Amino acid sequence: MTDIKLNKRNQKAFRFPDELFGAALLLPLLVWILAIMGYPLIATVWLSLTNQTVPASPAVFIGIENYKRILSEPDFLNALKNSINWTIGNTIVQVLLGYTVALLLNYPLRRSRFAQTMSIMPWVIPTITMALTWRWMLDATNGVLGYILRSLHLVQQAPNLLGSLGTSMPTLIVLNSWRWFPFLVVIILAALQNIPQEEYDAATLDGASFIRQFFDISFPYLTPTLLVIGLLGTLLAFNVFDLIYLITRGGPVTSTTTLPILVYKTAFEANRMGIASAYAVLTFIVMALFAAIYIYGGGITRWFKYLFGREASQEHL
Amino acid sequence: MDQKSNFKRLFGILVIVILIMVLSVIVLGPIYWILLSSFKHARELVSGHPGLGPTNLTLENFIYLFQRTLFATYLKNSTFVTLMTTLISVLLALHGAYSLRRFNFRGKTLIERLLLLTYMFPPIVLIIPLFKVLHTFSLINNPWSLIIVYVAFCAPFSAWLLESFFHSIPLEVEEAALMDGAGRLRILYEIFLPLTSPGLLSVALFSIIFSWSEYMFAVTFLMNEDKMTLPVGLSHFLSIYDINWGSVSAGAIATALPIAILFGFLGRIFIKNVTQGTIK
Repeated sequence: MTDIKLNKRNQKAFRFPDELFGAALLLPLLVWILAIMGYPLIATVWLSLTNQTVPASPAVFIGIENYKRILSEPDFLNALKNSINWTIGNTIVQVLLGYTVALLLNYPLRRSRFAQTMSIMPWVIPTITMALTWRWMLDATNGVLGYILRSLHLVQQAPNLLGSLGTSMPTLIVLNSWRWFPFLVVIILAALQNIPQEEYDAATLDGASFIRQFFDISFPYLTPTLLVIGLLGTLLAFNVFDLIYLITRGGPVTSTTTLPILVYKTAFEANRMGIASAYAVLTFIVMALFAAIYIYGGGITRWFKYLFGREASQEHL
Repeated sequence: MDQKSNFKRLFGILVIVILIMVLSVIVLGPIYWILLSSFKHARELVSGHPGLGPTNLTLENFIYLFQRTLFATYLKNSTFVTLMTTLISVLLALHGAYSLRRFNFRGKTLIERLLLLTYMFPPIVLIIPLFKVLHTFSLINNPWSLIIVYVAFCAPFSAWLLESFFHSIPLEVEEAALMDGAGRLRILYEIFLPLTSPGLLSVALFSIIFSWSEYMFAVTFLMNEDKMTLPVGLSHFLSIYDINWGSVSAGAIATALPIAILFGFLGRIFIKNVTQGTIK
């Protein structure tokens, strides 16, 4: 409310001659974005239509040959499948963990700054530190996880979680979620604290159970926040390169080769930049689709409302 | 009846306490183990039955790290890249966000959306042409190649965060100064800037965290060992056959430490601003 007021006064106070000054302040930022993000985006599309190999070699226009080729080979579909598993796996694990932990912390640690700082810590730690930690803890011969499991006589031989086809992807999803779910906790906690206590008090008086209160009060309040975070989280998970590359390099075989890994390996290990660019363009399209589902899925909110039969909470949704 | 509900409550509290303890082990366990490993003799770590408690501690891993590897060089390179990225990002973001907040022009909403979109933009889509361009201009192996790319990822999101932060800054003081005939830039630097320091601090922290940990562009653009930043240099510790896990752990800890310390001091401001921005 106050913002709108300010903005109107703002218009009055800072008028036309200053428009140029305002634009000049913004210009460097825009030029920077266009040069480093806008231009390469277009250049990638162009490169994807050429037979570029290493950067110094000349690029010849070959039309959609690269696309024809990669769509007829299994590599792209395999990476697409891995990317979808990776993204959805991360979203589910993180939202479930984030929700549970936030609700858990909401009572005893409602205002604990220490808990907030601690729970964002994993995100602050550099990826390389975590990648080295995981490689060390899950090392097949000397890893501490295998050592503990063996000491407790839970297993005979330490499992090679990162080196086996069946477990590499789920393991990576858990490791990445370890890193990001605290962030969700902080945001959900902040959103939980915006819910008026009276709603809970009234529900308690009416004899509503804890679970009932969660679905009728907490959940509808949290849904908008979760959707925003869900979008952000999904896209950020989709983009993850460093953790996967540092821990498994996309292996064993291609079991953890997601789309970003495929693009990178094709461009900088196989030196086939034209084909890698075609992969990159398709990656971009897949990602835009992910985003579009969310953005145009504003219907999602309505769907949730229908699912949980909430009319009273309309104003929050 | 009363006793029964008391028992129920106690049981509930017990369950919550146990769950929190389990969670703490999950969240802190890995950090504990890498920290402990960095202070243990490398021989003990691969002996097959390492002690899980803080016994037989040593500094040999850190001494090895600084004397026998290029860690100090990586540290210096990372510091330079991080400081430059942060400085440029904060400057661009401050001016951009101020412009978006205090001036009205066409396409403003579109620009605000664009700023947020860049944060979700897949870096992998940019890396091939960027590498090609940097190669053409012989900027490969030059820290500035990283800085200009990092700024493009840090500045727009910082501007977006700052813009929402600026909502809380009242206009009256600036208006009064304008009436008194103060110049636009003077108003920005002398009146507006001091009011925004918590916001600036959190976006600076964002840039610092980003550039300190970034790996993909760094491993692609930097090839000479003496130019590498920490993530790239450390990742090579794993590519040798007989991995020295003691020095790997020490390197991992020494890389995380500066950020952890910084965050310990400034973290709360950051959390407050970021969560507020997202919820709005």
